[in-house]
Amino acid sequence: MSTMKGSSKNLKTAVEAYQWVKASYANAHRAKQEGRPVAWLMFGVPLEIIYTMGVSPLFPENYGTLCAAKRVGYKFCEAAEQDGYNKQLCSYARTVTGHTFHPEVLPDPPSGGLAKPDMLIAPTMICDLRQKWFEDVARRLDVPIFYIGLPDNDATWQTGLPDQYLLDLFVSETKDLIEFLEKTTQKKFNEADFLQRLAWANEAIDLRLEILEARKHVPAPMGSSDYFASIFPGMTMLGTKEAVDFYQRMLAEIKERAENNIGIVPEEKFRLMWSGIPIWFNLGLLNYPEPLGGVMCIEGNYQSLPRERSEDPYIDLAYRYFQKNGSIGVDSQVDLAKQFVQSYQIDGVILSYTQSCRPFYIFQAEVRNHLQDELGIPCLMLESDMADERAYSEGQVRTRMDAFLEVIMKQKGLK
Amino acid sequence: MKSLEKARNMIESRHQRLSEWKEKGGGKVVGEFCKYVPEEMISASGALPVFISGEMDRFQGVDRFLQENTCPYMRSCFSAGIAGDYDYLDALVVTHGCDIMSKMHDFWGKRTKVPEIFLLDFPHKVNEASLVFFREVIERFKQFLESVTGVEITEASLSESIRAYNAFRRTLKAVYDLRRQNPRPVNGTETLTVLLASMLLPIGEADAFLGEFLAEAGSRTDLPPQGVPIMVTGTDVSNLDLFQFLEDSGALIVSDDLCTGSRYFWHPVDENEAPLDALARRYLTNIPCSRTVPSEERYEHIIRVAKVYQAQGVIMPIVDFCDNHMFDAPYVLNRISNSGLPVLPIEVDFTRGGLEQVRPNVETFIEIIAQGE
Amino acid sequence: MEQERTFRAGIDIGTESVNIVVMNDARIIYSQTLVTEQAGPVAVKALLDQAAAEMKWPSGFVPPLVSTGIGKKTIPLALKTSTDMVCHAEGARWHFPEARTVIDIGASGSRVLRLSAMGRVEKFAVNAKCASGTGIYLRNMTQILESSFEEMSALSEGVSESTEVSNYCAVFAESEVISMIHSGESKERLAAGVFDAVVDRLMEQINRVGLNAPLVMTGGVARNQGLVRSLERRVGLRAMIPPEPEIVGALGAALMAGKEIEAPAKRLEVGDH
Repeated sequence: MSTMKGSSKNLKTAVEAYQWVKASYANAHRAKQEGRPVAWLMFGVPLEIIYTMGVSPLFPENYGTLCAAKRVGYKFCEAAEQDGYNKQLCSYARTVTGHTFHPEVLPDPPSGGLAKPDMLIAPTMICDLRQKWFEDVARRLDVPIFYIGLPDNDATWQTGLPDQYLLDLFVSETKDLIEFLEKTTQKKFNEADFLQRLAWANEAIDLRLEILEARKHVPAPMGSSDYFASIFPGMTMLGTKEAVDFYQRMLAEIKERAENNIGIVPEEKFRLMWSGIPIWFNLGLLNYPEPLGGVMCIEGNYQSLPRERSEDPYIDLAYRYFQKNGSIGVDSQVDLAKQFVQSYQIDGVILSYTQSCRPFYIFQAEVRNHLQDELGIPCLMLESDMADERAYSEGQVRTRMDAFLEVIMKQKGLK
Repeated sequence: MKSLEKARNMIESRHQRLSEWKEKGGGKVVGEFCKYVPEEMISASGALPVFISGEMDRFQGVDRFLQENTCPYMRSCFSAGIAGDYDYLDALVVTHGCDIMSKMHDFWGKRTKVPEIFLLDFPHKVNEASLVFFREVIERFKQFLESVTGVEITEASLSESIRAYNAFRRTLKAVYDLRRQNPRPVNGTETLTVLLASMLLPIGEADAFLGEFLAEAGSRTDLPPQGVPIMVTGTDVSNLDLFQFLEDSGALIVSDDLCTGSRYFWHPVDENEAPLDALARRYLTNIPCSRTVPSEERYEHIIRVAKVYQAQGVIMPIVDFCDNHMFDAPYVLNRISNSGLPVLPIEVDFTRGGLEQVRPNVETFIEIIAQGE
Repeated sequence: MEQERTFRAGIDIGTESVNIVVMNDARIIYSQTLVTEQAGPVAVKALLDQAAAEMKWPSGFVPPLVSTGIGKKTIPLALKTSTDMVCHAEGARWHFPEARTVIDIGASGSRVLRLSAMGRVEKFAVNAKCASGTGIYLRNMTQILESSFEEMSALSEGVSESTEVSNYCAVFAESEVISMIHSGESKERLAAGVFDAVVDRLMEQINRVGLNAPLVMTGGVARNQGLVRSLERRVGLRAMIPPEPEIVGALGAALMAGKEIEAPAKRLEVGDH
């Protein structure tokens, strides 16, 4: 019998976050009914601008995670494969493609499904597939698409400030994006509103930095299950007052727990880091070590990191984009992993190797190599997929987790 | 054909040849994976650009760094890198040809002995702003080359290099045009062999070598088997085993849209524009590969190249895990079919065993075309 | 022997067996299958010797012969070779002259062929590399469900709602089915679910090629009523099955041999250099 299940959370705010997820899909449906524009976006689009222009945003990548968590994503994947999309392709893309062009597969999809877009916006960073995916959707649905043509951030650590030519491209593309939106929405860009939203976004990011700091506390006041449950506002709602309020509440809750030494388990015995994308159809894995006193207390790849600031709003946005952890180069990810292991006092790392996501698996072997060779940290490489549950062997995963946790406990003298 | 024999030997002993070239003349060797790199600049610095390519079935030593479900082509190149095959390189230039290729900047930097690596930040999107950006990128590339070679790259030396490469492009076009003749005096494997060999030579010699091949083809009597004329499109892997396999299965490869093939020579660099500007423009706006947007020109080029060389069918090899080609494959296959050409996709895992698995598919495709209606 | 001139033969050298079909004019007069893992010249010789003995051919006589299948090039006696899929189309058309789609499911893979009105293969799609959707997957399932092919077929009859077997990888599917057995899922619904899963995998190929009636199924797996039913339900078409679906390839090769002696065309010899 399957023991795959959702995760249990420790924070009230983590549980609350799901309301925002549902709301975003409902808002888009309402926008369609009321004739307001709906855009399909990806992470990396400057959201302040989207909200300023009154566009209702949808994040198909997130819909991939939602369908996976609801255990229906694979049906859409299958439909896409029957249309000729190779099963090696990103499972978010397969899920959404299957859902969009074969809604008959599941007439009652999660959250009422993805409202059809009036436009698509695809930043050309993180992975090649994003632009191919949106290009394909735009072609099939015959809707306008704007590519934000930004550098990939492949290079290893950028030190100091980004060079002028990088900033110039960023600013130029951002201004072109505004022009595109003015055209498609027939609205003028409201600079004052944008500046207010930029201030809110920066406030939310700063709050998330404080949260990151607060999580260093032993025992850990917040777990990875909380993090992934509450990732949505940080990735999709920057530029709204709601996001600021949300992270204020979250920070307060974490601080209170830290002050009172309320952890994830009654007695915290060992601390683990989750690297890579979570396995959305089995988030319960994030709680798996808890009966043994282990906590999954930090995630290696999704955090905001301190960034340079600028008075110029566009340069400020650019600095946020070019910040050091924006790089998905292998060396950067190795360095980040080492940093996190040390500052969070990590005893072991679980490396999620999600087969259909190249940028997020490509560094895992080297992260493992460096953590093991240089820091003597035990690592477990878990091969799976992030949203296609057909590429997952639960029995195998549990066996390997059990063996890994044995090693950790032996190392800590707990066995 | 003497040039063909020579080419085979050159490829066989390429690492040795390049090391010897370095020792004899003291020249520098700069490796690259991707034809978005403006080779004219490398030549202008006196260095020799070297196209790093993978070998089928060769993945030794790689699993610890790059697991099995990663592009087998880049794994194979990396296997050669960690084995020390390319230790004679003075520098390596890496582009974001794709997500995996771009990471080679870090992998080769940490795990091979290549001393200097440059990340050529090639834009995904082609527009005015990215042209300005790319112009700056190649300015920095110029400085990198100058520091590696100790040679100043002047406007004059760049212009000369551009002219030499354009001449090579013209000769290559003439070589390709051989396969517009009926019967075809040369086939795809032979052409690719000579092309890959010529890429081991400084550009002037490369042009002359291609010219030899062209001349010999003109008087050739032992023609290759006249298989069904086929055009090849797909993951830009210029691999002799793959071409040989297709032609053994009854095809005669008459054209392609590969970056080392038709897209290499189709558009020259403007000799009237200031050289760095001309290079930035030509390389950025060249017929795009699958990782660049917008894509329309790429689709048009595929059909055009098939028709100009009178292909009767199109074969599309797609390497495992190649997101860029896999994603629009359904669209491209339809588009090619709708243009009136039969088209066959084949999966390539970069092993010879994998080729054997798809042999029935290729043979059937060929037999169907040969049967006619 | 006056009938000498009208004999023609086809030999299909597959991965697990070798088949021979001998025709005389328009009739199949002899067919034989040799199940062997050594499917090569030795097996072919054995088959030919057997055929010669049974049909009392004069010593040394071999009828005009076309070879097909994975080992087709190992027969120097053959007039020519022809690919498996083209031969299957020929053979299917001989049984059902109006056939427009042929689905062949064999041990190593499945193929969907679209035929033109003239009976030529226009387009085909072969399964992707992994083992799912083939005879091997089904064979593994017979072991797990502890039922033979025929029993699985009988089990699935009458099932209105099958149990979903979602894993496409044969290895994962095995553990999925095993765990479902342990949790009490009925064998009947599981058997039906396995057939549905095979058909699901086929849909990608069917969609790529397009489905036109009449539909013919060939290959040994076509004997399995359960699978055929599952396919018919899914695509909404009746599937016609030749009486001996395993030898359709060899039959097609024999037909090609006939065409070759009637009009030896200066055709390109596939793979022959």
